[in-house]
Amino acid sequence: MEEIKAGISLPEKAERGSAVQVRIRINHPMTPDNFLEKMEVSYMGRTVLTYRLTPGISDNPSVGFYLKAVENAPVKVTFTSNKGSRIEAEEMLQVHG
Amino acid sequence: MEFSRRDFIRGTIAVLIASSFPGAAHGEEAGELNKAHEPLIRVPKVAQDGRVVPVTVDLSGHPMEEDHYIKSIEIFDMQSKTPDRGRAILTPDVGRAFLSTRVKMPDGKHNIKVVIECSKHGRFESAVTMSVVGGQCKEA
Repeated sequence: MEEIKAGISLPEKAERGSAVQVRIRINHPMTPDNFLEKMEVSYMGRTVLTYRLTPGISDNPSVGFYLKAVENAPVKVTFTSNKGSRIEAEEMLQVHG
Repeated sequence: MEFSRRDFIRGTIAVLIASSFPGAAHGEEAGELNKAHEPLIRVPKVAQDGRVVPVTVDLSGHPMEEDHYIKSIEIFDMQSKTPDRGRAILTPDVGRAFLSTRVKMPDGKHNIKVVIECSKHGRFESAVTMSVVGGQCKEA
């Protein structure tokens, strides 16, 4: 069975105080029986964005949003499926300035 | 002209009702509010593969401050039996009201509705039309 992986794309370095674009990708079906229903992004110990997905979203979701760069800290994502499974990933955001 | 006590009460109630709905401004004020909450919605005019139709909603000019920010962005495909195409719940920590995603749409003409909720001014709707060809997405 193919392992489900989530990946977070961040800029190499972010200027402190700027809003930087983030893209999160995950390989997972989105059928009515088996789909990701929630994506939660946290940074510096806080939830910054929650995305409620539906089966109407394309398979292998790819989601783009922005994040205000404050300090060097990991950006963490947790996906939850309708079957109760959780997939997590994290990536360090490097901040300068 | 004489105003009765009844006229005064009716008038007061009318003003209170009109001002109680967020986003229910009138005339010029309504126009400016609507403009300030109108996102840029990017979709292909004609999508070639209905399995992965990119949709971007961008309200870059809107503040994202603790006391005034875009709380959520919702996308709907009004031609679908299940129109809901996801809802992003934002916080001021994102710094910019933006969402980019990919949705499923079968062939045909589609009316894509976007609902934005502002923490201060309430909900605003926008819509764009587009088409899907190619036959790759059978149902959505």
